[in-house]
Amino acid sequence: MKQVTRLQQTGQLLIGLGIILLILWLGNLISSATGNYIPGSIIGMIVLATCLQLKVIRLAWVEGAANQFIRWMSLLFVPIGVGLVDQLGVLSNALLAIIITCVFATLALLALVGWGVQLTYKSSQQDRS
Amino acid sequence: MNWVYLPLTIGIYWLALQLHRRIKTPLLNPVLVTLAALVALLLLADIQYAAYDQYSHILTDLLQPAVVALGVPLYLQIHTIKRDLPKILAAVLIAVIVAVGSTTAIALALGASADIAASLAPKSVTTPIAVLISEQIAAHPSITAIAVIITGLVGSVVGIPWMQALNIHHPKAQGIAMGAACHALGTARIVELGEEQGAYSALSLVFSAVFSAMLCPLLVPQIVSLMN
Repeated sequence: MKQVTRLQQTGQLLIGLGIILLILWLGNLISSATGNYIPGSIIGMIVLATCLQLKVIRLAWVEGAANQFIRWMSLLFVPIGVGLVDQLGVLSNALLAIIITCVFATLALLALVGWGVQLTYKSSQQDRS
Repeated sequence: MNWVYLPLTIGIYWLALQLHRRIKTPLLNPVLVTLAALVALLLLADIQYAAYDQYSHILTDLLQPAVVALGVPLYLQIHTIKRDLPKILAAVLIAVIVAVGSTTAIALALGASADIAASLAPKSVTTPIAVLISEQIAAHPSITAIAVIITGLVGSVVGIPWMQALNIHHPKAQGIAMGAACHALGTARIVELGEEQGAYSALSLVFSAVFSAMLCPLLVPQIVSLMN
């Protein structure tokens, strides 16, 4: 029994992987047809969500494979980050500017969006009462 | 022996995950620890990045299907938050324009070169998409990756006390702000305040990624030419 379920699980993962790769291929196709403005993977993400919403694809088919991808996503960008070794010259000159920019722009954005959204919820509450 | 770079990368990341589980502090972010260890190793052993990348590049290739996989949580979130969708879309659209504009402008004002400023522009977006955007606008993806981590750490470490000090207590406002400003790292932190914050933050981070991918190629060159 246990072996059967494990086989089924593996099969489901493979089916999910196949669907995801197919949608990625489709997304890349759409991206190149529209001048590469939006990466194909992002178009694929929207296509997948739309297909799930329209029940063209069932959640159970892709959920397992998608969860595995999302679980390991952080690992996937490690090689890009390591590419830093080739940029150390650029980085050491600009490191302070980079850190200051990230800290200030982030704190300002949190304040602006937080205040703005909170304000809209407060005013819509007053409308109702 | 070059093939060893792939298992080495996965092994170090696994160790960093274990370390993170033992000592719960956002400063021991597993990705940050893995990057530091690998960069130190490559420098000390005098290994060329090209040689390392040749055998670990499969991980980078897997980023694309991983982004597609984000369609599943997007679908699950839309399902639960349909009513607030127009408000979230409007808020995140404005947030993205402000984020990209202010980041590029501050960096240029601090004397950073145009390509550094462009590398920082997508810093509020989740890494795989930020890196794609960075490639799209011909910036340095590795610098973008670092900027994304610094931004995430800011949100993770000071984001919540900062918003509380500013009297931002509405759970949906906290979630949307954190997701738009500090992507997955901030979302992982704000979900500790409540599921509502977590769900809105997750949705906000997905929309922010989509809008940034659409707007960065248009906005960043404009701002750079405007400031020069």
